[in-house]
Amino acid sequence: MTDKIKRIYIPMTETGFYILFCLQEEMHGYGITQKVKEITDGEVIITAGTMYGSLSKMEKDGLICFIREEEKRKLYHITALGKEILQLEIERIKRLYKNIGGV
Amino acid sequence: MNRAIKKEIKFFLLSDYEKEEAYLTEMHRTGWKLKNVSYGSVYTFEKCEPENVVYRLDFAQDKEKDLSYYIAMFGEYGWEYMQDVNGYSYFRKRTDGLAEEDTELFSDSESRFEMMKQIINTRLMPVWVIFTGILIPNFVKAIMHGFDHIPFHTVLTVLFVFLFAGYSYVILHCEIEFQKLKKKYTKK
Repeated sequence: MTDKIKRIYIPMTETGFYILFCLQEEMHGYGITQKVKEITDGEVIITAGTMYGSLSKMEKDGLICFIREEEKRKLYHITALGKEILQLEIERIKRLYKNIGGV
Repeated sequence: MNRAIKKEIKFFLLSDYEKEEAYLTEMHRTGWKLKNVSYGSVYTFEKCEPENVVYRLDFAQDKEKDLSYYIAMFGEYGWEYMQDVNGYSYFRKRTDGLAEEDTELFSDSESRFEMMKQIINTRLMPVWVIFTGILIPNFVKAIMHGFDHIPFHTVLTVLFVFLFAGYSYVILHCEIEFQKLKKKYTKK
């Protein structure tokens, strides 16, 4: 993994984290927004411009890849590099959680 | 029935997209909905019932390769695509009963900054290049020739003084406004 990608993406924005987290399954942009809204009880909303911009940036940086098109929607999936970044971020968050007295 | 049409000419520079959004939103609220934008600055409106419709502009440099997908995706979020002008995409949406976050194209500052970065890199940079590479040298040359009483040189001098002033204004204005936008969206 290049250090540059690491420097850009870690720590991640909440938006970036949830997008990458969701893309462990094949999904499209609007589907991600709906799922994130659901699993955060409506606390995290990712809007159209933010979603489009994040997906194209992550695709360009090789964190996710385009899988196929379905009814004018592009389906994406996380790449090996994306998984690596996600794992680093998860470990960072776990450490945070541990240090504030969680398990 | 023929609907009343109104045309207005407005100039919004690269950094003024939020002002343009506010202008279009206000027009619709007072009963004039945007029909189209031509020549970059002629706004044609059609008389309508006053409605709460918000207008938003997006700038995504890579959308050209897949415009129909881009439009379809914004459509899923309830945005009606209108047209593209100078690389900006115009969207609108009815806001009655909507939560505030559903009236915005961006839900975090990082993506707003990313859009600004794209505008600056692809649109403002060429202006800088023309300014420093062509206008400044020619401006200096024209000023030096300007006092030798050859009419053609005087015309050139006047032309370059105007171009120099115009470009200086555009660059200065955009740089200041982008700084203001960055400040506005930087977390305190």
